[in-house]
Amino acid sequence: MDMKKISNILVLFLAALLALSCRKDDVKLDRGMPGCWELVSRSGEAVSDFSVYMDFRPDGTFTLYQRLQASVYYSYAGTWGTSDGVLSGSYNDGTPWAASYAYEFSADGAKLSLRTLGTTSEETQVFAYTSLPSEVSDNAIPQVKSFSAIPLL
Amino acid sequence: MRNIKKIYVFLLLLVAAGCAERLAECPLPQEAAVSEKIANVPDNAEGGTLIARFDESVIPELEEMANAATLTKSAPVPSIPELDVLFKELGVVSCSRVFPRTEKYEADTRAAGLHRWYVLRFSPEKDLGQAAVALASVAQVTTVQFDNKLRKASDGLSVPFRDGAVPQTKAMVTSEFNDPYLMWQWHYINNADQAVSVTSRAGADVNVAPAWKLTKGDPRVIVAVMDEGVKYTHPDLAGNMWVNPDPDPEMNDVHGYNFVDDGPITWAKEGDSGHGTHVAGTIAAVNGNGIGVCGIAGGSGRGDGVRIMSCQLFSGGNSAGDYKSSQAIWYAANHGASILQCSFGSTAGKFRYDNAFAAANPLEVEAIQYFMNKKNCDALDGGLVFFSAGNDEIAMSGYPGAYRDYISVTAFAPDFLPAYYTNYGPGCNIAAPGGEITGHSGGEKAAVLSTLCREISDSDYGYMQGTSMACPHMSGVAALALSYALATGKHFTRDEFNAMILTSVNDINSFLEDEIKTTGSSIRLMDYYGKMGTGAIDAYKLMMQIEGTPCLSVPVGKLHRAVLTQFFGDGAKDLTYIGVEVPQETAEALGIEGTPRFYDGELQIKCLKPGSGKIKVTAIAGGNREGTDVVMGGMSVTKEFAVVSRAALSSNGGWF
Repeated sequence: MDMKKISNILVLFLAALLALSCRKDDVKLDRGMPGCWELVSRSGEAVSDFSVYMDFRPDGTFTLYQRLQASVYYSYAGTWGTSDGVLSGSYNDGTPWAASYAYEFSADGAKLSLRTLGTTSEETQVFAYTSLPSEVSDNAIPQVKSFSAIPLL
Repeated sequence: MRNIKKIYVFLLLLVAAGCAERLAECPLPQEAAVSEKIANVPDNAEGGTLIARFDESVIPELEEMANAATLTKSAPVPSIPELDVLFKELGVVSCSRVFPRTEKYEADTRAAGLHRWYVLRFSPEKDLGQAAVALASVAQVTTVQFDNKLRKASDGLSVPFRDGAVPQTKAMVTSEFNDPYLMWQWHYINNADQAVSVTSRAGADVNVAPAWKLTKGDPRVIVAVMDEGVKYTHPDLAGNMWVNPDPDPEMNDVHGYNFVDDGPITWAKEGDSGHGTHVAGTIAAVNGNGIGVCGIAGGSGRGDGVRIMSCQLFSGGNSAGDYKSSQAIWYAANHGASILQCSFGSTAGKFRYDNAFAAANPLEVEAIQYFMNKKNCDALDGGLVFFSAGNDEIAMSGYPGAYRDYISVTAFAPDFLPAYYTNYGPGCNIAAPGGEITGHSGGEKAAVLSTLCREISDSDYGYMQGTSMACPHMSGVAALALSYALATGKHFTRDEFNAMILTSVNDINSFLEDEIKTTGSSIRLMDYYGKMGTGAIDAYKLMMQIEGTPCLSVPVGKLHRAVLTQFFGDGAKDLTYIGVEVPQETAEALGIEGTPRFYDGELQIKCLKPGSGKIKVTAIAGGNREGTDVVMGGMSVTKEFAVVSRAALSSNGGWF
């Protein structure tokens, strides 16, 4: 192996290393909806009394974790999709989301704003990209299971 | 009660007037003034003993007198002439503080005013009534109290545990613990086992199994068992006994103290029943040790259970009076207890309103207040006090439990119906399993299984029934909850904690149909509707409240009606609500116009804007009116929670 080949390999290796080290930031910019989002504010007010995490998966399914009317997290599963800047979805028990949302990302991709559409009062919620805490995912009580039951014939 | 006392004092004054020659140096003041000073009437009172509270102005002289008497080992000689004459007349042999001076606790004791209480000893031959009148006649004496002895809320009947047939639903008692008799403790996990009773109802328990997944106890939580002596050598209790880090050499108070006999703790004297040992086992029998029974906050067998402090108030048929029992409460507060477990009290009906009780028992009330104000647990500002409601089958709680600041515990059986003996009605705050030893197909198995004293019962385990047994279930659940609060770094005021306890309940009213239940005696179930307190304590629900305040989610623009079950427990619909407070900030954030109100047990609220904010709702826990000085009633509990209004609200409760 001559020096040129070795230097090419080294350049490739360094480029790969650089690419890997930048992945986090790059992915943020290009990520889009998939990933886990935590509700941080509503209509400009920080959320403090309850907690909501939404895990959008690239395959169009989601798991919602919320601690709202109980002291523990309940999980809801369903499907989601976007079209013309509108986010909509439904739960696996057949219940549609109560609203569709106009969505917008912050410049760095770390924040997601959802504005209700078609409701009498407008509500804007801001979510922050995060990783789902294991104590939430491990202890959540399923309300709507992650797959629909298939009746046995 | 007050009238009886007035008549009693008037008669005493007449007698005393006849004896004026003997007490010539003690001129009698007006009857009313003396009557006001004498707190109670003698009722099984300790002879030759009176308790007195003195005016602050004479305390330095009294302390000097008491010190001199101790040093010279002689009778006290007061420097106050009036008192000196009286002491000589009565032959007072000692006059010492009820709450002894100790360097460590003196500041708190003085701050609470407890240093003003003295106990006088004199010849038992002297007439107690006349002595009380004479003492109350001294200007510097502000209160005189007879040293009445306590009454246990139990007949002491027990049935030893006999190993035999296994319950039919053994497999359904799921727990990680290997204690073999847990399967018979329906009061913890009730799977409607027919071997206990054919009328057993699933869920008629304290729902501790899921709570054990979160915590099993914490040795930093100390429960003072005010009862017969706890057998601290019991194989299923020894590991969870409190060990005094700094025992008094004279008292040798390693695990507590025998306040009846002023000596070592005892449990097997003639007349003992094992009551204190049974109560202690329900709270903290060691779990996971492969023997015997489980305790609600008994840990996992790795030294992590809550600790039991034995404050012995009953001994071999004898009992402590107001003097020693108050001293025991003070002791418990000073030595780290954060829960006071009291299965004793007066017969229901003896007192009918709080003022009457407080006026007749000022020493005890002040001692309990001292306990309630003492912070001994990092998770709680103060101490919790639980009393049994009493077993008189009467439609009101006995005192002290009925007092508005203490929690009075009623009893239910494995059928989730009131136990035949339980008191119910005004003053009762919450229900717990007390069992029934007779009247069920399983016999004694329908009672409460816990630790007993082999010396008395020929077994280390056995069954008892009573509100005496219900009360330690409540204390145990509270101890478990404090353990969880410590583990999660939570901190509460005493009022907040009491409110959480009284609202962590399951409904029992729905089982009370218009029928007669016959077990130990016959009772009409409808008579108990809404009178057993807020409901049956649920350990898991209490843990959930400790984890965090849940929110009420309401849609924007619509009148929303909500039964506040998640805040006030399963009995929420039947509670009496006395107030809704909406701060201006919340009203603006949510667009609430006017004050929300209650109708038919439902909160009616309308929010015009999406947002969130806190509101406060106050309800009566136990009965339909709050206890006051002149009314026996429930405890007022206030819950603050967030209201989250949503522009879009999914029908299945999902956020999106």
